[in-house]
Amino acid sequence: MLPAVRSLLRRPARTLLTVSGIAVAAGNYILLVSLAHGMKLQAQGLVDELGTDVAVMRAGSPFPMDSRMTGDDVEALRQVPGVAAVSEVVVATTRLEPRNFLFVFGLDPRQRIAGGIRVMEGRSLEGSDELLVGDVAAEQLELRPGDRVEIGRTRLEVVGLYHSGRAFLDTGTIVDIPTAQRVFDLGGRVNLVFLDLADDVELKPVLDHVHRTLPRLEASPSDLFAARLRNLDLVRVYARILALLAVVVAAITVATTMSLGVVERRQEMAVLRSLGWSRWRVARRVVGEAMLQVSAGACLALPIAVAGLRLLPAGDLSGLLPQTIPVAVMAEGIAVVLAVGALFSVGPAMQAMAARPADALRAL
Amino acid sequence: MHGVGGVAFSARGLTRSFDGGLVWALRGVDLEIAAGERVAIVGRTGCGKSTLLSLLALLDDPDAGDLLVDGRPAGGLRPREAWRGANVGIVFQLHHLLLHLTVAENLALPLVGRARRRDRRRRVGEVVERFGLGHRADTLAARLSGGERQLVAVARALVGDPRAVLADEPTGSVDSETGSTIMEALLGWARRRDGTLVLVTHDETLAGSLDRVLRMSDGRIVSSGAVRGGHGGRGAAVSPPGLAAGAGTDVAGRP
Repeated sequence: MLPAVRSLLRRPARTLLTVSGIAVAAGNYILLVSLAHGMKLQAQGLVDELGTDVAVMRAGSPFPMDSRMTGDDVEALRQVPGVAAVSEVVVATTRLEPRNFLFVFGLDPRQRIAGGIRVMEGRSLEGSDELLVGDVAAEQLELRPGDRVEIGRTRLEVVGLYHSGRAFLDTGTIVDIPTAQRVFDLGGRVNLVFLDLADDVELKPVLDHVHRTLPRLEASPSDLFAARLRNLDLVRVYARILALLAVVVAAITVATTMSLGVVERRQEMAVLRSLGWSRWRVARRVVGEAMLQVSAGACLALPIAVAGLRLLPAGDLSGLLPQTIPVAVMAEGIAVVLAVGALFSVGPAMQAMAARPADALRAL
Repeated sequence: MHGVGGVAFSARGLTRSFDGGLVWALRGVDLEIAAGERVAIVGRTGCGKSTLLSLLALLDDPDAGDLLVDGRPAGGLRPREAWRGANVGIVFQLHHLLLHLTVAENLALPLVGRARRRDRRRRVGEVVERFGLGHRADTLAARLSGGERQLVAVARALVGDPRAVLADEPTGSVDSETGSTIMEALLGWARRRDGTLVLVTHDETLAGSLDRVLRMSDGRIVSSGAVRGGHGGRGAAVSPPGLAAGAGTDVAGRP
């Protein structure tokens, strides 16, 4: 067994508690950032699934639901050179017992973007006041074709259940665009428009054209759609800040514990100095022990984060939560914990460097 | 491994106080210790022996006075740890082993950063055999008896093949048999290496087995004299300048 490990195991309870604290903080970091990251991935995944080239929103809208585009806007987009097809989308949320939060998508079933949605039971939309329910939402809401629900004081009939493979969609519902505009009082406006470009048409000239001729709109390549969702970015920033705070608190605990350990081992440090160890070598030993604990905590953080994701009561947010923890987020979590741990081990290391060798000879 | 022969120490007017001058451990110590000399420092508890030893080992700094090591000012020996690691072995009053490390790991500590891992293993292996600790090499220091711990502490002081050994009551806490083993080891090393041995002790008999005895009282060296029939044959009495009249007489390790 490594001497450093043996050194830490001299106080097993303290070491175990320290490692546990780091593990929980690091696990919390990975989980929170994963959740924020997952929302963005889900949103991007939905757009990827649609397979369109350009996503258009009202300029300055932080989130699709805040975006409003008129029929004139849609018509103007249809006239942009190189655009082969235009798909309008309404995105809204509602409350439908027992769900407090349910996505309602307004789509034209004839548009290409509805092609990836398979009706598993019942039929597709054929008229107004009809509702398609995602299979996950149907199970949560206990809905079957033929049932009736009330959304926005409008009674809608469930005509079918669908599956798309995208949690974002499958935990929500779909109505046709006129119904969505009526239910959510949009006055003929839509939230999003997706453009399919004709073959061999370059993307950039189309984006430039939209920005030049329709400055009230903001067009972005579909594969960068999620990157434009500023609210999700804000969520990610908040998640990181909160998670980092937890890591810093854990690091302060480690620093305090290590500092206490250095005080207790003042004589040991002094003996090492008297045996010819430089201040730096003694400091390295302290940092090494701190990093050993931090590393152990970081390793344990991964199963904690995975378990947290499994046990999280997703409920209404199930469509927004990630199914797995991205490797990049795991790596980020471990890197952050190691970096913060290293930073906070500097204090105890400096304390150890200050140990006076003469203390080894004198009774302490 | 290092330069041939022991380390020479020369001190003038060393003073050292603690607790902001409330406690004076040394009150102007003058001494000369020749390279390769074996010197005992005796005196009552609290007379400043251990403090003097820590100054000679460059573990501490005097408040005032000059200390020359091999003719060079001690302040100029930098980095101190490197110099100490290469030249001095220290035996503490208490063994000061790291109890969570094995005997071999404790013995390797003075060599860390100075010798490659393979050389460390070889040196430790040699010392372990010389001290008859082969069967205990992989034993945690915490599981050793008090005598064994002190034996390992002495072995640790010698593992780096130092030019000087400064030992603070190395036999004070062990039985007579272990004490003899420890002294044989130290004197054997001193003879073989022609090294300087400075030994703080309360044991007058032990002091008498060395070349010279420095007697301390109340932070001063009050007498210094060669031991008749001492081990070293280097017994040229060196009376430090500044000693009171009457000092420098043959104390022969006895009152």
